[in-house]
Amino acid sequence: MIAAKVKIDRHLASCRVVRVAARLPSGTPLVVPLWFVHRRGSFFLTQRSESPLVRAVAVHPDVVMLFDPERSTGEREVLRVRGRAEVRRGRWPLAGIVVRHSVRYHFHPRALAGYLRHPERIVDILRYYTERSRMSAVVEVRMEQAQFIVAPGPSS
Amino acid sequence: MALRYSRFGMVDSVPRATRRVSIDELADLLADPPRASVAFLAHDEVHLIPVRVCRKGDGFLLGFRAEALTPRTGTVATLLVDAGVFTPELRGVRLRGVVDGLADGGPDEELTWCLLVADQVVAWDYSKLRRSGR
Repeated sequence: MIAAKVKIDRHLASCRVVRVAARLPSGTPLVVPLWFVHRRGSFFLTQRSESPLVRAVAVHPDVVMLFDPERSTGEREVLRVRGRAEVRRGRWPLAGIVVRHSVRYHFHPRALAGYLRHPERIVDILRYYTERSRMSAVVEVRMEQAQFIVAPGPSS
Repeated sequence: MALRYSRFGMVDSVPRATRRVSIDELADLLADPPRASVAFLAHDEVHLIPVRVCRKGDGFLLGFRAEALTPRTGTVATLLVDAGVFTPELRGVRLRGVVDGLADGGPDEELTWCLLVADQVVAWDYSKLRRSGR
């Protein structure tokens, strides 16, 4: 049990993007790549309050997530998590999550280097995130089941 | 284009930032996707399976490992191909369509191949963020 938890934590530490699948109110499947913050068995995903994922989990809260290490290539182990999602709104209760999220993604050295490589885009990037921060929600997914599966590699 | 009220009660048109691109602008990503996954419903549950992808005519061949659940013919599925971790490098394509049965002729015989015929495409590239309308 402890070994499994250590393996899961080590795997999660090597992932920065999670692919999340949910069922839209119309019944069609949705899958989106998202940034995440992990804390005590829950995953926090920042979203626009009217995003398709927010609309989906409001009706069908069961989601599936794939954690695929960014540096792995070829056939590789991927962590598949089933969980239950809930939309959390309001700025102050989620301030800690938003701060962790910003440090992890916007102020990471690789992110800053990327902004410097595209200086002509910085104004539009700021505009994009400012527009979305006014209407943001956080989706919390509580982990219910975790399983390692093997993903086929890209074409050789 | 979003609309909002100005201080004087007039409706302004405010160009919003957009990350949308056409799927043709991501031809290199689709030619050699680093990772791909497909979502579909089966047994009244949503499933998400990592797959290998290659283009075949107007459709996409999805390669599943032998032990993986595969979607039935006629199932609506959503394929995600994406790359990148931080803002300017994030790009991807989401294709929704119908699974058109098991397909022969996939490039790897160890995988089970299905054909997805997409009818809805969303593509994005954060390195091309711009105000909409530009």
